[in-house]
This record gives sequence, C-alpha cells and structure tokens, in this order.
Amino acid sequence: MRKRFNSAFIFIAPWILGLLIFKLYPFAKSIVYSFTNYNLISAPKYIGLKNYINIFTKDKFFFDSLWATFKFVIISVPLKLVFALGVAMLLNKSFKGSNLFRTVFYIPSILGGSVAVAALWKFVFSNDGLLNSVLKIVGITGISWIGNPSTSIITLALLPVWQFGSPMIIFLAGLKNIPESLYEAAKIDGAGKVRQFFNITIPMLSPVIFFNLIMQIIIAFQDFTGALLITKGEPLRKTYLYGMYLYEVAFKKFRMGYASALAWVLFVIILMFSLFIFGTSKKWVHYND
Amino acid sequence: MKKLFVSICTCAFVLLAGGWTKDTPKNQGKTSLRFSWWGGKERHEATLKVIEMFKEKHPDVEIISEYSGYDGYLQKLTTQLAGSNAPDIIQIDRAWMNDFQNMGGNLFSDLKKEKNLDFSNFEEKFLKETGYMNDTLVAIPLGVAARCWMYNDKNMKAIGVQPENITWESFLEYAPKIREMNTQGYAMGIIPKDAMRIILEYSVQTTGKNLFTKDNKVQMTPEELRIGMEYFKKLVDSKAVPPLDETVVYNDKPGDNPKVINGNYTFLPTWSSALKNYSFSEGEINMINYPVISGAQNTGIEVRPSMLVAVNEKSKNKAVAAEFINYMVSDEEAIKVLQDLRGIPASKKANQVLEANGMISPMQAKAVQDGIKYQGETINALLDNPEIEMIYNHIVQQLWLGQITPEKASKEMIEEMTDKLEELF
Repeated sequence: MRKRFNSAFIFIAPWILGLLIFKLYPFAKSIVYSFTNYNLISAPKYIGLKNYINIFTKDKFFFDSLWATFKFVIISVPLKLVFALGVAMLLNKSFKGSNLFRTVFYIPSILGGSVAVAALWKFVFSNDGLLNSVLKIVGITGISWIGNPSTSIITLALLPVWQFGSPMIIFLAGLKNIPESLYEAAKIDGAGKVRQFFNITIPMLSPVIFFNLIMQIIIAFQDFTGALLITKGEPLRKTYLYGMYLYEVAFKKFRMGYASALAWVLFVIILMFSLFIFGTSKKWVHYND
Repeated sequence: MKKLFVSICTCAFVLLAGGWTKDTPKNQGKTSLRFSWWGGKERHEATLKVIEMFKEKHPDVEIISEYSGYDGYLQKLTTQLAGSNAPDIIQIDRAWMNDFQNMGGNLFSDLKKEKNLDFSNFEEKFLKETGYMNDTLVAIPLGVAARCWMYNDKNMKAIGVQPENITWESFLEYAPKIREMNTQGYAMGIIPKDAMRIILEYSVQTTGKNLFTKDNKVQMTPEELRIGMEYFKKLVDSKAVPPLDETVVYNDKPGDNPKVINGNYTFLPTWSSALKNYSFSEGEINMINYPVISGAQNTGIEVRPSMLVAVNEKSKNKAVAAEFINYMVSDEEAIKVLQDLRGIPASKKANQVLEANGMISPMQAKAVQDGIKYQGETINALLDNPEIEMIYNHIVQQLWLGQITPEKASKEMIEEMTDKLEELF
C-alpha cells in the first residue's frame, strides 16, 4: 500500500510542484506585497495598511472600475447561462450529426480570450462596422456601439456570452442525467413543454445551474481581455473593468504593492458574492439524494 | 521497488523533455551582447542588417537581437530589469525615463565614461534635454521628432486655402467649409490625447507658461488652462472635430481608424516620425507646423527624441555595447541602411550622410527643421506618464461630451494633477 502511495505521489509531483511554485507561492507572496510599496526595481518598502486605505478613500479609479465590472457581470453572466442552457437543450436531442454540432458550438470558447476575436468584435461594433452596415440596409442609422458611453459596456458584456461552450457542456451532462420517466409521467398528467421545463428541467438541473453560476461569476469578475483590446476602458472609463485596472496598475504604473492590494480586494469581493449565492442555494437548489 | 524506479524514470524524462535541458553556448570565446528594440518591419530588417555588418567587422562579437512591436515592450523590459536579465543595449522611450528614475537603482550605465562613443556627433543641448537621468548621461537620442499637423492636400485644394496661412481663429472659420465639402469627415481627426495637446498648445502660446515645471510640479493656474479648454470647446461646438465616440475607440492606434485611412479627416496632429506610417486612400499627405498666435512668447512647438538607446548598467561588455551604438550613429554604411527609420537622426554625421544621398523624406525633414526653428520651451514629458494621462484623458472626454464646463474642467484637472504629482515625486 505504501509503495502504491509513493508511486502515485511521484506521478502527481509535477503538478504539485507547479501548484506550489507558480500558484501558491505567488498567492502567498502577494499578501506580503500588498502591505508594501514595490516597483519591481527597488526593494519593497513596508507601508502597513496604507494601500488598502488609499483604495477605499482616495481611489476614483477603483470605484469607477468596480462599478463597470458589476455592470459587466450582471449583464454577461445571466445571458451566457441562458444561452448555454438553450443550446444545450437543442443539442440534447439526438439527430444526425448532433456530435458534430456539440463540437462546433464549443469552438468559440477555445478561441475565446484570443486577440483575434477581440479584433473581430471591434470590427463588428465600431462606427463603420459590420452591424451598422447591416442596419443601414434596413434604413437604420447605427450608433458607435463601443464608442458611445451608454452602450459600450453592454457591447463589451456581449463578448463573453459568445463563449458559452463550457457551461453548455456541463448543462448537457446535467440534462442527460434527468430520467426520461419524469417527462413521460408529466406528459401523461397533461403538462405542456413550458410546464415541463419549469417544473422538471429547472429543478432537476439546479445543482448544475448553481455550479455554472458560481464559476461564471468568478470568471466574469476577472475578465479583462475585451476591455484591454477593444475599448482600453474608454469612453469615460465606462468599460474600465477591474481586471484591466489591476493590470495597468501593475504593468503600466509598476506599482506592484498597490496592485496586489487591489487583487486581494477583488478576491474578497468575489468571495462575498460566492458566499451570498451559497447562502441562497438552500432555497432553490435541489439535490436528488 | 521496480514500480517506483519506473515512475522516477518517467518523471525524470517528462521533466527533462519539458525544458530542463540547457543549450551549451554555441559561440564560445565570443563576446555576446543582446540588443532590444521596438519597431515595424522596415526598422527590424534594417537593424538586423546593420548588426550583420557590425559582426562582419568584429568576428569575435555576437549580437543577439530581441525585437518586437511597441505594445508590451516596456512590460517585458521592466520585468527583465527587475530580474537582472535585461539586454545589454536597450532602446527606450523618453516617456519612460521619469518612471525609471523614480524606480530607483542605477539601471543604465553612465555613457560619458565610454571612450568608444563620440559625443561630438550630438548637440550638447539636445543631449542635456533628453538623455540625462539624475545628472548622468544614460541614453543617446537616435532620432528627432517634431509635433506637426499632417493634412490631406486634396481637401485643402478643394476649399482653396493655403494651409500655411491657417491661424487658430481662421481654422474655426474654415472648419464648416471643410465639412460641407467632405461630409464623411471632419476638419480635424483627433483622439483625447491630441485634444489635450491642442488645449496646452493654445494655453502655452497665450500665456507663455508651461503646464508643468522641470521639477515635476504644476505651474499653470486653472484660469490659464481654461483658455485652451475654451478653444477646444469651440472646436467641438463648431463640429471641427468629430464626436468623441468616433475616435475614442482608436485611442491607442489612431491610424487604425477607417476615416483616417480614407483621408476623411483633413487635419491630423501627429509626430513627424509618424508621418511615414500614414497614407490616404484619397488625396496626398502633406504637413504644416501648427498655428502660432502672433507675438507668442512661447510657441509651444515640441521637439523630442523619437527614441533613445541606453546601455544596461549590469552589462558585462559595456565597451562593446558603446562601440556598437557609435557604429549605428556614425558609420557611413550603417547610416545608409538605417536611414530615417528611427526619425530624423539626431547624429550630425548621420544627417549629413543621408542628406548627401537624398535618403531623408522631405516632409519629415521639413517638419523637424521647422520644429527646431520655431521650437518653444516645452516641458511635456509628463503628458506620457500613465497616471497623468489617466487624469486628463477622463476630463478631456467629459469636456468633449459637454458634461462639464471648461471652467470646471480646468479647475479639476489642475487640482488632480497637483495632488498626483505630489504623491509621485
């Protein structure tokens, strides 16, 4: 038994080493840095809680970016989940080539964070972009979707919706686990499709919805590719996502201490959101066992 | 036991295959240097060729090139400097020098100590203004760039106005005419950063005072800054400039804007070194210096190094590094290859060689010559500081959208910048 444990440990060692060196160590070190003034070149200088105090008392950008990020999360997460569930339900039906479609619909998620997709987004939604050209044909004068302060964050929040692949796959697995007999029974009792969806599919799927919701919120809070590549946070900092602010503080201003503190504030915010959703889960998540 | 052995072997194999092997140096006995720069394809090719030429003359020297675009260059460089593995010869931007100085530590080597560098090739005044950090000469300017207004010849001919005669006031009059003739575009295509420069140029010319002092303090009063803001507001109100949403998306790359490419914007304020990055699909490119109020004490016209080159303080081969830099700026063959791909050369020798061979683009040369001739006493390096940029970028946008009056905008901007500079310096 001991031998088996040894060899298992050795096999998993590369991963554990990777975790320790590239994840846990920086994670721990960033707490230390968050109490310092550190610019990468000079040695870190301990300044106590000053970074945290400045974030909450002085930093306009912090509140602007937090507000933009909340809007981003609130728009993009529900849309993405609804979209993922819809596609999963379509693909749950067996038809010729359904496996092919499952793969095809996953592709955007692989391309997801790439520069090319962000460039494409800019091309579609800019002033002379594809969308406005199409609108022109039907006689509507479009606006600059990403340049206009009131629509820019919505346009940006649509980008991750397109990457619905992983929640879709998880939904698909969840749908497959719902026994067919429940639907048959409901049908005999005279329940229509809509009724079946809300009274069987949703409750049976709730653990999966719960999981996807938590995961997507965590991902959305940290999103920054789109903001960095498409809008640079503009106009008027309406799309200045928290992740982008953090990146700029760290790699444009080289204030690593302050950036670490910002990262920990984000960590706590995400934690609070997750705990809140966990708290509500007793009311709406149904486990079979 | 056997199983354990096998798994250890597997692990070792995986780790080794994953990159734990290290190449033995191919060029043993050679002096090896690394040179990093940013640029486009043309600059890369020319620089690589010059490196080859230098290596031919110095068979015992190996120069490894590390080149990329401008995006991400600073991030990589700073990380390398922090990790003590930065290249020996480093191309840098003036915009970063303040930050590097602030970061502390001696990052770059004192070039005055290098015997291989011939400083008689440079104007001492220009070196003083550009390459010094803490009273030490750490960088040599490679090229010079001047601020100018690029314009579309075709549009100007259509309204029959000589661009050279344009004043700030008459520009406001011509703007509607230009718009009438070219409904797709506007008289001037600017991004928020250009708008800030226009505000400053106007204020500096009117008051003779710079926004910042040389020791990084704010010296303009809100009333003085307001003069420029009010002029910019007029530009917005008379539709001489496009609505914000048309250009803000291209804040980092104004040249990507389709309307710029199509030549729809008649005037575009830019740097002379960027002139060759543009071409209009309709109409010819030409340039003028921007207007100067008659009797202005300070023209506000800015001339700056397009880029500089420094030697890493931690380099083991500083003498060779200096020799290579000297080769780039003074060897006739090297100059002919590099041409004006880093702006109009700051080196006198390079200028002579290029001029004699007709290798300088006339427009760029004129921009720099005029720029130097009418040069104002400008202190604008802080405009490139990311923290300062964030402040004016936001306020200029609010002004542009009409959410804030010039009075309030100038008051807020001065206050915020004063606070920020106190915090930074």
